[in-house]
Amino acid sequence: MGPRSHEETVSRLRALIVDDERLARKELRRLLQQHPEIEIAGEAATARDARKMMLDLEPDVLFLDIQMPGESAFDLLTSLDSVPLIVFTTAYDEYALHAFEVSALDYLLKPIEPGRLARAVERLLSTPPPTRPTPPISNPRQLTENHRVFVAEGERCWLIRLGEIQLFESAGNSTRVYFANEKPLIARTLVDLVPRLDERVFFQANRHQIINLKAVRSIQVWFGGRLLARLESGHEVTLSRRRSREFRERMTV
Amino acid sequence: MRPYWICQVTGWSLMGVVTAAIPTLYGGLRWAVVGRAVVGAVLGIVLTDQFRRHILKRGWLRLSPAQLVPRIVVASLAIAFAMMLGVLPFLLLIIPRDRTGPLAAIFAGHVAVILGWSVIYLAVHYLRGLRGAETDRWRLEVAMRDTELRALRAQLNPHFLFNSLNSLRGLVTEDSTRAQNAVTGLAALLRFALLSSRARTITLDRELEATRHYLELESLRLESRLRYHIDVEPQTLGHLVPPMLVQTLVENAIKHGIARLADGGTVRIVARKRAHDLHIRVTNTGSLGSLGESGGIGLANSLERLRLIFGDQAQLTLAASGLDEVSCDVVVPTPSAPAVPDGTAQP
Repeated sequence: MGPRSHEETVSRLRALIVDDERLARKELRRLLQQHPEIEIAGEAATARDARKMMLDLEPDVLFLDIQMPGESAFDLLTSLDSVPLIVFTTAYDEYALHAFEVSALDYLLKPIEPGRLARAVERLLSTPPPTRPTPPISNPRQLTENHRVFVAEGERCWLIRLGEIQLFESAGNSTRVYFANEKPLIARTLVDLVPRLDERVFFQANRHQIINLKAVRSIQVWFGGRLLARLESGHEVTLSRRRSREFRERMTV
Repeated sequence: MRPYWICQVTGWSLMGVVTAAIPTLYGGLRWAVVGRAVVGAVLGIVLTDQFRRHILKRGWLRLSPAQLVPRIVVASLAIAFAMMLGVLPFLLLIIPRDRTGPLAAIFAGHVAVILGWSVIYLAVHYLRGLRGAETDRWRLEVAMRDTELRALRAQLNPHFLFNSLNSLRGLVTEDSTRAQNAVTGLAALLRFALLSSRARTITLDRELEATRHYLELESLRLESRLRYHIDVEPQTLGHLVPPMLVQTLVENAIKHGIARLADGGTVRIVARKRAHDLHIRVTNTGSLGSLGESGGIGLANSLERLRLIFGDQAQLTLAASGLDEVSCDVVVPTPSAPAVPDGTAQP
């Protein structure tokens, strides 16, 4: 895996700076010069520009201003299939970030203190990069259990590793995801999700449910040879007849 | 409650002296007469004090006269009866056995005395309450207005400060002269904000000077996205306004208008004098729909502050003034006598 493995030995993270203020971007760029582990791949002034640039640059980390004109940082993140590492930058206080349910998110208060930035960079470098799965998978667009998705519902939002999701359940044009004690909706249909998910981990149980195989606690034979899967979350999912057969074949191999 | 006890002891002692003196004048000093007077006075003090506690505990002072009068009458009868029982042994020694007439008269006298006590007690309470309530109301009003004004007094938004400092740090290496000017402007604005927390009103001239500093600093951050014009008639410059009024309007215009637009927009400040009133209009590019809740609160605070100082003639309205334009109109009357007494005036 030529360039990738080379990058890994150097252990540099490619960063995209997203901020609507030119001087703020400039300041962050200057501060990041002290950290050669971070390579600035580009700068974007709006969420829309950032989305476009992400397709080309595939950054490992976003330095993201929360307050931007037009689309907000949250709009940007929820629209992404998977999110890279995120460091929020904001002039607001910690209170403005109360919506976050996850400690996996880091944030820097402007004006950014160099010491605080150094700690954030350290944290970034110690986080396993989700975009470089081992073992490699054939489909580059496929998401592994280490990919992270940003989910927002109402005032609350979460940054979750796909592997933490126990169950995907179709709900009209969106999909309800179950993890921990939460079950927010994501704005994608189950049909869209199926080809993107790693089938070694995520198994379609029936027309409207996908289960995380690593979260299955027990399997029980049900009427007509169908299987009933009990998940760690307590959910019971009945596999369709066809999927039950496939499940058996996979398990006996 | 010191005066109460003085009155209580003095009053009942006098009562005792009188009840002892009258029979003594006619029939000479007899120990039964003295005993009756002493026991009567002591019972008077104790029973009426219990009565007072009862009145306070049951909240009789808050009752209407129609509710109070029957209660007082019944209580007086009961207390008089208790006193009669207390002094009855003495009375039986004093009064000839075959006559009950004087006993009824003495009971009536006791009732009259307790009723009299009640009237004096309630009257004192009522008069003192009347004066106290007025002072309290007045104090409360002053205190409320003072706290309200303090809370409403617009202050510089901390986010603005931090954003400005961030841009400023970036500017230092890029254009040191401009950065130096920006520091001067920021210092002037901070000083203005500090001073304005003490002043009720300032001239429009000074207010606009601070607003210009504010706009300069926001330009640093928003760069070409923020454009502004200030159009003010010279005769308006001396008019008094609450400090930070125009700055708050401009801050709203930027926060809810310009900063939300990727291409930015224009803020326009116009001030005119009509009759005795000052009319200020702050216009910005944007739509009303984008006004967040905090903007509503900010403007509501400004209006509240205006009204506390200038009375109800002060006005503040926010409306769409074009397809892609929002205007905030403010009418500031000429201040007459101050509506709120300053500082720590005593009643």
